[in-house]
Amino acid sequence: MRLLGAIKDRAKVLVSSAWVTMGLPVDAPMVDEKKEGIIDVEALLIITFLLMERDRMVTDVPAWIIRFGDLINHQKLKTLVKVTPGKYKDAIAEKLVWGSFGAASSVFRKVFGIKEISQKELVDTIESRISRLNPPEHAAQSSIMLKNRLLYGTGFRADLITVTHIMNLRMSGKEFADLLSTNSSTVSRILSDLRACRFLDGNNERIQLKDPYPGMFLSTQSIWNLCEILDAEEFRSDELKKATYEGLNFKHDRFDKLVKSVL
Amino acid sequence: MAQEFDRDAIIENLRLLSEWLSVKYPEEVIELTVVGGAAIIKSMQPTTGEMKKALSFVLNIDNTELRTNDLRILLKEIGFEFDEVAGSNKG
Repeated sequence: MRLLGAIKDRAKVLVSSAWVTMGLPVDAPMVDEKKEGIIDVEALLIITFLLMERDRMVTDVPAWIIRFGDLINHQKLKTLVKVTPGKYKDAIAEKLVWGSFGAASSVFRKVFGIKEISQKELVDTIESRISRLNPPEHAAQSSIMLKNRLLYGTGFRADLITVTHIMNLRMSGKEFADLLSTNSSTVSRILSDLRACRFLDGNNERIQLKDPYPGMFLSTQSIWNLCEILDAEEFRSDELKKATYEGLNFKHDRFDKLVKSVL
Repeated sequence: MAQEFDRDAIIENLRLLSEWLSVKYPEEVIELTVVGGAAIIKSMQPTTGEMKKALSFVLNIDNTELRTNDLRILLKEIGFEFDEVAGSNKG
């Protein structure tokens, strides 16, 4: 259990750093995506909810969700919630009734089934938090995913273009679809467009890639890995624990690799 | 070729499965019916009642003549008569 505490503490520090990249004024060093990898916005939201306690995140994150609402891919968020393991989905639902998530947009509330709140005190707190956030145009300088959503719209096309900033990606359409939590037909259609305009070559690699990114810092894969790590620490059996850790895939997940390093 | 487990190995694997299920699905009550090959069943030294449950489970999934004949042979191999077990009242 002491290890579980250490794992959660480490993960929370990394989550705070990722939020600084997204424009949240948290006292933590920013994740430099050029060095550490790209942060997936919706995966960060889910991981934040998984780890969240009754602290500043309960008011800061709703403020961010309201301010950056147009830059959230709610379809992706919905899919991620759907595929999150049952016990963690329940834990998220319990936490989202805390604080001010009920002040978020109806489309966000619908994803998690949260009731609307209108208490003046909470709304005032949220508004004061919103005023302290970095505006989207500033956050877009540190987050390539936010920048591409401002450029190309909040959809899977923007996210796919974001992922192609990674050097030596060599991914199939199915792998792109898994990484972005969408279906293969959507990805196939976008890849075909991007190849047709010579943005990508026949191997789905960028034809002229300047300033490549090293990989993903935090992706949809990070959610599954984190759930697995938390489960592993609940096992009494060393055999189950070992098998769980051996099954983790860090190809698109620097976040959990760093979390695991506390062991 | 399938590996033959002794009773302790089978119990240990069931213990691991039970622990895995309790961590992954903590709120759920899961009833396990263990059905395996002749070697596993023989090693477990089942009672007629336990064998009747296993038989019902398999036949509920597949009660074709082919499956029934397979089960006749399998039960014979571990010292049971299919008709006796199927007709037994020991639940």
